[in-house]
Amino acid sequence: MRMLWSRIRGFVFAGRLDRDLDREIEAHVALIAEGLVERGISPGEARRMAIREFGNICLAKEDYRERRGLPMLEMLIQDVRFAVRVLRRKPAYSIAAMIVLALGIGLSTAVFSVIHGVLLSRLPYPDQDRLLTLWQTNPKKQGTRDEVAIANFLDWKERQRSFENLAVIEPFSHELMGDGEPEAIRSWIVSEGFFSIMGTPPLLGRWFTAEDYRAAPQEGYAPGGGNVVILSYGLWQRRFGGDPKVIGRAFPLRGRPMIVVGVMPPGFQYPLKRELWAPRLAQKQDRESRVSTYMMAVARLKPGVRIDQARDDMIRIATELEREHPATNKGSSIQLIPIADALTGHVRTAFWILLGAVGLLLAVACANVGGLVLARGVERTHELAVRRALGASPGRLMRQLVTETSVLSLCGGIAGVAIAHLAARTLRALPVPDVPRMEQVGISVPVVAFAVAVSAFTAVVCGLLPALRLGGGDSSGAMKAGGRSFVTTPARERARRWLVAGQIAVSMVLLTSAGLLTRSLVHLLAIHPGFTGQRVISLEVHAYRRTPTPEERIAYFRQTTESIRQVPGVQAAAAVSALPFHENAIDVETPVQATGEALKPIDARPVARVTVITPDYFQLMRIPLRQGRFFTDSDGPSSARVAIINEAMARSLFAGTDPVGRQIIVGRGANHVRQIIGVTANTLRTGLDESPRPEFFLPHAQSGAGSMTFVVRTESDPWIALPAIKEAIWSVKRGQPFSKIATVDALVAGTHGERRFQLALISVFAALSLLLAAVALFGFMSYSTSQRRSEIGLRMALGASRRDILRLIISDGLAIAAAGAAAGTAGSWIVGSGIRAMLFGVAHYDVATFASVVLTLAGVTLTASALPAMRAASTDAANALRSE
Amino acid sequence: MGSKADLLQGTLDLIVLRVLSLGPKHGYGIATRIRQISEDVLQVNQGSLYPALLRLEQRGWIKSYWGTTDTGREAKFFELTRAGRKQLAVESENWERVKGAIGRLMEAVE
Repeated sequence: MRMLWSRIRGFVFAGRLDRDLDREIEAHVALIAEGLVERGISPGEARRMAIREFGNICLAKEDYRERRGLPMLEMLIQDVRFAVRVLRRKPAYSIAAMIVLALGIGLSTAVFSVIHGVLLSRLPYPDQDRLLTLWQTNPKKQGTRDEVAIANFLDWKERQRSFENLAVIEPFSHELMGDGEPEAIRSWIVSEGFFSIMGTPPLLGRWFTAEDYRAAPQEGYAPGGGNVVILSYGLWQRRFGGDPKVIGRAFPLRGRPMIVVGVMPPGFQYPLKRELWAPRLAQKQDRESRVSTYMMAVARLKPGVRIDQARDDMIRIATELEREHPATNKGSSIQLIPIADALTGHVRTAFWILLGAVGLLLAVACANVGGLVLARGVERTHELAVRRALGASPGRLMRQLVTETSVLSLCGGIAGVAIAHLAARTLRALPVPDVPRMEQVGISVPVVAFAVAVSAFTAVVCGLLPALRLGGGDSSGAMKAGGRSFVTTPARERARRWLVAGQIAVSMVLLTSAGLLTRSLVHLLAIHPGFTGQRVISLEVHAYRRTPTPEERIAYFRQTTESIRQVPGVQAAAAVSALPFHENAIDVETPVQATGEALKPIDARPVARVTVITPDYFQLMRIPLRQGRFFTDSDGPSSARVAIINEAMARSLFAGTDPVGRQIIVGRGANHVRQIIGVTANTLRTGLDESPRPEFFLPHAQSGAGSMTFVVRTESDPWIALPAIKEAIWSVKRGQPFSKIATVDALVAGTHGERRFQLALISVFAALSLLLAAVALFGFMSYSTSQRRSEIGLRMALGASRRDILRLIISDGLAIAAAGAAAGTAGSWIVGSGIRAMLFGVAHYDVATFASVVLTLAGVTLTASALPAMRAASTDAANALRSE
Repeated sequence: MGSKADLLQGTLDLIVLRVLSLGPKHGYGIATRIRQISEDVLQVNQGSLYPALLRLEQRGWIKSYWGTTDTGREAKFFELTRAGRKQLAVESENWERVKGAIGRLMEAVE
């Protein structure tokens, strides 16, 4: 204890104590000298003799200091200082190594932060391992998992013996009036027991009670007819400003006042982000409904019951139900999936593969930085040899080298965390579909710990391997040889050569993939969808409740489009049942047949998409008319039933003959007949990469559909006109909420979001691997030229010019790159055919892409070998030979 | 064989403690005293004296102060502490045992 204290004191007051020691030794020497002077020796001579007698003053001081302070710490500080000085003297080398490490550490930390947020952190449900999701398997879809039909669920619930409780949840939409704008809120209606199964306590208020499920039954099918709701944290913040007195407040939802009884905490959002929960009331029809599967089921296992026991139990029930209801349940079984797997199962493998890829990249980065350190080390062999001769132990030198790489990887790690932070923020903002809990991705304590561990690992790996090779060895030999004699076996050198070529091959594969995907995207963006979406904004409405009858709806949409048209700055307004590229647009397909031929059985008739529009839709979207006429206001409920078909349908149904004036039978019956009055150009509906399909259009005045999307073309920025457009819609019916508002251009762009995401991901990897390959090549070339110093000197002495040397070194680099590119071309071919499904309008062996990648690689190779080559060319022949 | 013997590490500690048990001394004084008592057989490397003094001070067996020599020169003086006296007793006893053991060993071999 006392020793430690003394040492710390010694460390802290090193300067003052050093002066003390100097005085002490000075006194000692002076005393010796005094003795000598007494014996008659001259003072000058006496002092010299005294110093000789005292011995090595420096060594004594050094020994003394080592005892006094904290030698490990002092040495570390000294090493770090020295390392920083060494690294600053070679900025190109240091910056290259640091960038590589920063990217390697940053990328792997970013991927880990995603995995940590999405896969590893616990869900906010107590005893999450006992939570299961239940699914029906669908025999018609090769036994894939499907949601549950309510009648089946009720049977499960009554007959099972394995669960504490089961509940179903059903997606729903609540129209919220309250203060501010009316809004359609995506909600869940949940059956009794849902919250107790999930187990997450509410932030405020309470869960639903049995009482809440006994609301007065309503007419018809009204499962969402309860009187109470629970808010999500997000909705509470957004619409109620986080007001703690919100509990017990009534506000109009679906036109009736509903009372807020609870607020859930932020992380609670199973299974998707929806903002409101309401009780699902039992319905009369529930016992019969075994066909419509749209309920999601959750259950909590009884304590001590294993999942396979529960599975056996449920399969027993499924077999019973098959027997009792063969018409609907034949071949249908039940799947049990733990909740964490149900949430993230589809991305789990992909994420781990991604981490593996990044880990591999990091390993390559380490190898490359290790190569750089080694190359630097060879240049420093002489320095190291001198230091050994002056008494540094091999361990001491090794520690020095590892300290240098530690400084590098510490800087790399700090920059890496910054990169990971940026990457996580970018990822959170990206519309990555179907990845739950993305908002939890970020830099947290475990993520930083991961980064630190990775940095430490890279420091040791990058530093220790070269240090083992440089630190050992016989100092006198190395000093004599001046760096040349440093032993490399040809096998080892060849291995490094192949490693560099391999990296070039890998980056070539990634670059061609990125190139092919880029060209695909360019081709895709050049596709015209068949309509023009510039300055068109869309507003989705569901008007069934405010306008219950078809007649009211026909009048409503006519009046409302007219009212929007009056808004200053609006050029045109229309409504459409399924707007192209709109995610909520339900594709309604129906069998169609031309009249005048024998009625085919339903299954044999071709199908076509049905879209309901108001008259101005085609002109507004600039969809050209090929034959006949557009709809007009006179195509009303009482006039002749008409339809407009697209070219694809004209071709498939009428094969070259003029369809205008012909009649088609629409739907399952034989009596719904419509006359074709026009043919329009094809439009794409769900993606730019699809081919046009048969489609026909009906006038809204002859349909009365209630779920429609208003489309409005404005003269300038549609977002500026939006408030006036909303007011115009509300002037016809107050309080109509909008389910989705988006410009048509944004909708189109949204459909290739995933493609952009893939492209961005692969581009990052490609760029990084190119950089790594360049660094590897640079490291290897520097290393091998310093190895060949004497050979180069000899060549120059024999008359080789600077150009010859440049050519010699660069052609060596190009040879390595060529080997890599040859392997890379083969690899790209294979990978290209593997990703053929993701390509569009470009062959997987696209010559232009391959050529530009090869050119890029050639350029990088030249750059990476130029610096070592120039250094080699400036070798002074006489000097290089003398050091032999 | 030369007339000057190298000092074992532990022995130097013992000798320094023994010399200081006669009264406070500065570094040079300690070195001179050792040489005198051992009749020039034991020659202390004067440089290695200082780390040894520091080690003894860190263990709390001696303490130091700045004082003035007979010739009026400033020097650091060392003196035994109470713990140092105890340690000297322990080490002397050890030394006697080792000396006895070596002596018997030598006689037996002869």
